[in-house]
Amino acid sequence: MILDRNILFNIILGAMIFITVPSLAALGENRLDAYMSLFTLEYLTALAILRPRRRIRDLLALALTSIFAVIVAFRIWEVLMR
Amino acid sequence: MDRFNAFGASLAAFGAVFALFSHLMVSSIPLTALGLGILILGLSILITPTEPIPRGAVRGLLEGSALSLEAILEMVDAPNRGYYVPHGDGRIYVHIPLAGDRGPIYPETPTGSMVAEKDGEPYIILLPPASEFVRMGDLPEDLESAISEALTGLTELCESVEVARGEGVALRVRGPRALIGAGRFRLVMGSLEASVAACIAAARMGRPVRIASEEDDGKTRRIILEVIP
Repeated sequence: MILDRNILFNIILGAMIFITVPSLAALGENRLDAYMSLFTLEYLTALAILRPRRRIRDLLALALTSIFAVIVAFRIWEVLMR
Repeated sequence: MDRFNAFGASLAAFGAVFALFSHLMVSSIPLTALGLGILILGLSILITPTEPIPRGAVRGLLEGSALSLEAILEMVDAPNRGYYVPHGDGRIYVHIPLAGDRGPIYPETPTGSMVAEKDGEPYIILLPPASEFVRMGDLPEDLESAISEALTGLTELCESVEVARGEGVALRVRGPRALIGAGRFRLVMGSLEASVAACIAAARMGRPVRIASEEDDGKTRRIILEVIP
């Protein structure tokens, strides 16, 4: 059976998310932005490799990218203000 | 929304509530992150289409099939409207009179031949573009819902359609989208929208169907299907 790439995308995304959370928690990570950054990277990487079809424009990718940009901007701001 | 997308919406809602609860009540960052992860996964499933073929592609395939039939109809110089006739194999065929119109070859439908005769008049028998749709079993049982689902959902050939049944079947198609300009195909088999509707009507009613008339009125097309007794 050939797995539809749209379904495969969601399976891989789910697997990556459920691996990321316990892994970072085990490392004692307590910054929510670190989790969100990894979720964003995982989503965009899987999106670029598998290129699943979307019913509407991929607003989720847009939202995650925006959140990621804000997180990075805050980090840069923190470094500059030290 | 089908079950797969409904599952995505449920997952997203659960993830949002779980993240909020974890943040406000438990103050746990990993659990909050898990909730957000579930929310992302749920939204991703929600916007994932479940049809393996984009609907625009289905329309394109139908148009391509109509253009092939157009070439055949031009070659035989078919002058008359065809009859959509249900055959024993579950498919719908179009019986096209090439000279005098003696009605459909029914119920003694010929099998396996592209050329036939009725009362000495020659006929050509072709498979219309939507012939296989009626055999797939994905369409609702009642005629009105089946035509609506095929035209607006399965093929996206129009924006909306109203179906009324009387002695025949009347359709009001809003926003037809088929772009082909196959004149001979339209003369013999009707527009692509009418052809799909006639196929479904013939299959659901178990009788031969003919496209009696088609009128374009701006963005609306009125189609009358005649059911042959």
